[in-house]
Amino acid sequence: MPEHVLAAFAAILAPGTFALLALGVFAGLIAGAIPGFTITMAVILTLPFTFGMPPIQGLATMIGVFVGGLSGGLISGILTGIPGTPASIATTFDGHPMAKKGQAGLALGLGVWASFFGGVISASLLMTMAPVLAAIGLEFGPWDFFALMIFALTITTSLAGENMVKGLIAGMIGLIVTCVGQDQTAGIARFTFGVEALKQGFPFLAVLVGLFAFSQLLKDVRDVDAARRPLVLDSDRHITIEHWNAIRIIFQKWRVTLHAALTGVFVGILPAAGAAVANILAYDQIKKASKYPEQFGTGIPDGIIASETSNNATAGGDIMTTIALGIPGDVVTAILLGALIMHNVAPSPTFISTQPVLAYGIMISYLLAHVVMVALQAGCLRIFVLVTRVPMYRLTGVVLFYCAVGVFTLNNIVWDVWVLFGFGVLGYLMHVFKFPLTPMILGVVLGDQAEINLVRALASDDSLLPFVARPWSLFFLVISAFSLIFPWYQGARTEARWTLCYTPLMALFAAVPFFMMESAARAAIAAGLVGMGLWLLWRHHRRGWALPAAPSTIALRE
Amino acid sequence: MRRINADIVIAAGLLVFSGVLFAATFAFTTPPLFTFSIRTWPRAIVGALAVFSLVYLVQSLARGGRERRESFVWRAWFAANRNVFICFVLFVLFLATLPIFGMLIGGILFVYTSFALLGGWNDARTQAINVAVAVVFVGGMWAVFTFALRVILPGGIFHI
Repeated sequence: MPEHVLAAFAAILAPGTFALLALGVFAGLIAGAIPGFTITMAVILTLPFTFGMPPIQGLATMIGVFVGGLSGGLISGILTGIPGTPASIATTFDGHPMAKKGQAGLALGLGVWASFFGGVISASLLMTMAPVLAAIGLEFGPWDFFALMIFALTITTSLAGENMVKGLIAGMIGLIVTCVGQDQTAGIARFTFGVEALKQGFPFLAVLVGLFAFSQLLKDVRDVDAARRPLVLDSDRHITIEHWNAIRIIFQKWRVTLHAALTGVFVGILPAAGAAVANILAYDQIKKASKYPEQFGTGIPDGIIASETSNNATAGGDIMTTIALGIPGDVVTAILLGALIMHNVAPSPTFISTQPVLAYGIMISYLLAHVVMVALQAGCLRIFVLVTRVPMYRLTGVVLFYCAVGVFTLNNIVWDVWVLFGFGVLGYLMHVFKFPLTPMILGVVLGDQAEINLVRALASDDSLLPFVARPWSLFFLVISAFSLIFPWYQGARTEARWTLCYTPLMALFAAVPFFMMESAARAAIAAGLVGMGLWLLWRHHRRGWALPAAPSTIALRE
Repeated sequence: MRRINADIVIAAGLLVFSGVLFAATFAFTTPPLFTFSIRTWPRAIVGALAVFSLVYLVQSLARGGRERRESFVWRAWFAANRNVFICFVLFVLFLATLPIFGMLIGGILFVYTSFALLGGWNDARTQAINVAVAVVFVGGMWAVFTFALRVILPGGIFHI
């Protein structure tokens, strides 16, 4: 492993690759600073530029954009109270009050350095845990991979909350999109309805750009007056970041930093849950664990550290499952996965062992991008503040054109741009009628792999029994079932007694596949799960099946 | 009588869509020597879509009866989505005229027109900035793809 890490370092530190990484971070910081311009949109728009690059350069550029975007949102969030991206929503809770108290430089310093330490902790975990996860993935057969993809789709739809049915429909439409065109195994045309252009299927990039970038721009420009105003009116350009003071405070509050980083990594590992969830969850967790929760929201460092550490740490968890198992942790890593596939690299449990320089190159890009991010934030803050003054209508016109050019370069045919337009309209309509887009994206990304694994499974054994007889497959199906029930559980936690059985039963059911695995360590995990489930049931029984009090909620700023 | 709302229409549309797709699967013929039917996966997805659409329809019907009816005014709806329609129309025009103007000229026209229609007809200074931004950003992107990435973009009748 050390030789692979050194080789990956050498590859990333090559002048051309490092320059692209830095350029990516710069672009990501600009994109993140602009409210309404999401990280996903920035990464999607970067993808066409990477086609002509070697995979390691292309991925380093995109990871640069990813990390820059995660950190760029804190600038407008702290200075104006309007988060640049959903990943920085919780940063505004304490960041903006701190700026209003005249401590904008310290707030920005805390945000920048918390992002840095979150990234470093997460990168360390990524480099140590990804190979372990990949080793576990080597045990997977097609049944297990198929069940894992079902889990990824179900957890995505369960996070859609009350729109779960719409999430499931969106996921199915995403899977149908991948069925259009020639069947991968037999080469038979499917769902083409005689249209010649459809035989090649829908191009992945055109679908992604249409669904996310195109539809998002239309959503942002819908309000005529808002589209004409500068995005941010009162941002102060003359601020300097207080680096040393911020680092000192973060070291003093190392428990908060570590807690938020681990929360971020955990959220990242979960399929489809990204930085937008992590920053609010970490803020809430740190607030609950704090000795002075009443001070949160008044402009204290803990709130900024919690949010910014966790959102950057999420990316490490996202990348971990992507490169170790081929399952994206969120939409951005779904696009990274698509980028890898476009470069003829298919992440799977063997990816780290067969392409170690590329795999560790991704991890090291992620680590070094944080170093570049701090340097750029320190040196170019005024530029990032300045871009927040661009009116939305100008951004929309230019980016729509970029979308068209980027998609055209995929195959050099105008048909792809029409596909982009079609999916842009679909994405906008889905937004209007409140259908979540993430399940559809995941369906598009995972559809081919899900089908291939199902075909492999059925080709070797036409019985469906292995799906429940194989431990890992059973494990993923069990947690898929519980993730489907999750929205009802969450909605009724303080009202219905059955919810008290949710966690204990999940632990007990999840223990079954671990007992089926022939390993003493896994038997111990199974015993632990059984013990936890029984203890939780006993505790509820002892308390007379009393329901918990309504949880405290975080009031989001208007 | 239940009131028709957008959800009911969408759910019904999705059910019809599922039916059309399911019917299309009958045209998929599994090649000889294949041990499984190639219809299995598409039918599984389409079947699931139909089931979820049915649940959505039932939910929408149940909700439709409880919701207060709000009058739908087409003119107000178009006014609220004015900018979106402008983007749709301009993008379609841009694509339709790509063989004539090409990516560079067509792109500048598209970006400048979108600025003018979305941003409003402002003073001469703003218009000059709009022209400059359109030329610099479109020209810059065209130059990057043409000269740096060696991508041949549509040149139109002017071959630019």
